[in-house]
Amino acid sequence: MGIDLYANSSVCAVFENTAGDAPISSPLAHLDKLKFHSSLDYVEFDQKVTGSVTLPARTYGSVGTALYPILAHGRSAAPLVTGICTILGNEIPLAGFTPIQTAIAGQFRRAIFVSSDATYVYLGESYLARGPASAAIEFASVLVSYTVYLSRRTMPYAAPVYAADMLNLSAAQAIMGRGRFDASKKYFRADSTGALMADKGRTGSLYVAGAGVAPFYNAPQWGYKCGSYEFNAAANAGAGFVPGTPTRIDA
Amino acid sequence: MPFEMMPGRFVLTDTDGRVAFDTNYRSLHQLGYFSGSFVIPQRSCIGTELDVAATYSIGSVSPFANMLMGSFYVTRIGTFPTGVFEVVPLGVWLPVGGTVDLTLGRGQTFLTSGVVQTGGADGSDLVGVQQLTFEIIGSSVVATERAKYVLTRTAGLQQTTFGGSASYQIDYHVFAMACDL
Repeated sequence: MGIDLYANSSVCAVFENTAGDAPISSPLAHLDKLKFHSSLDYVEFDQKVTGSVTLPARTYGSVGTALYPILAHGRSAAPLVTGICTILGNEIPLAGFTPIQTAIAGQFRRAIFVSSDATYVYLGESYLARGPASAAIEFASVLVSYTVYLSRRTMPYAAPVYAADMLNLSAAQAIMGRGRFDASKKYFRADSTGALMADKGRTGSLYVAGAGVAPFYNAPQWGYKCGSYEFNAAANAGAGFVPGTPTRIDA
Repeated sequence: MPFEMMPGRFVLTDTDGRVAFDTNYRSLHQLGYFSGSFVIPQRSCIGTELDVAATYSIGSVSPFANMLMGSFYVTRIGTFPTGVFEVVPLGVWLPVGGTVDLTLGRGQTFLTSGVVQTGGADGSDLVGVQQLTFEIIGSSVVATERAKYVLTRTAGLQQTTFGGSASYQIDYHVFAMACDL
């Protein structure tokens, strides 16, 4: 297998040449051989933040959301963020709402998430520990360690106008695709040894075990699965749930 | 900013020597970008059950796309939920990927006409969840809403309308990626 770099005034491509030059003119049909193509785009990575947050205990009767600033990012707008957390030694992607404490088939739960606004990047929690007195659920305080990745892309996103050289490899710069790749920046990439797990699809299930008999009706249950991290496996199985698969990426 | 080409490999490094591009890595190709908004209508539980499965079209993409990145923003429209709780954060951008809960139901009971109480008898409350997921189905990028609320015990009830979720506007910026090819 060889690697080819091809460029003219209208296209630039880096690809495995086992299919000849076909990836130049038909990149989507040869994505498995493609390393870079000027007709595609690449998401820039900018900053990695690590740390931990101690979430407070949540007493019976409490419900809501809370945001914990983990970085004053100093940008003009909210950056695209994604991340991973570690709880009790488990490495878990921050994909959607990630439940970390649950009870009674998921009806009560504390979930965490990552988010951003124009000032801060946050680790957040969403919790419900409220219900009939016989189910006086409480959540203990828990330490959450996180690694959050920030992209150079900010929200609302405005796609850039790429106007640099189609290819410029010099001592001063390395640019391909009019700036879609610039060696002075970093980009997310798939990496089996990467630190970050990104989810590829659905993580939540919703399941009801039959209607029940009046005046008693069966409560819905909901579960979660992302890779090997799972809550309420019975509900996930009953719902015919097809979870997304996480993949490791790095930058 | 040196670059190096050798049989089977092409490497670019920046001025600090950091590997900026290496054909031994697999790139995350962005195959599509979508921005816009949609509105999830207010969901009312009339009777003893609310069961919703709704799909909001985002766009079409190459069938090779298999992962979404991006962010979305939730804005509540109109009335606050009744009978269920809003558990999604407003005013921040959330990453696309995985499933987010918009509302959860547990712990508000309906044993007295016109009054939503808390801490009542087991099963007399509205139990359920309203979920939102951005995902790729075939060659379509969609957002799917799934909501199921059940009033698990009807004996002794004094009313027939049990509340439900608010309406939400979802603003999104979604990147469809090809990963792990």
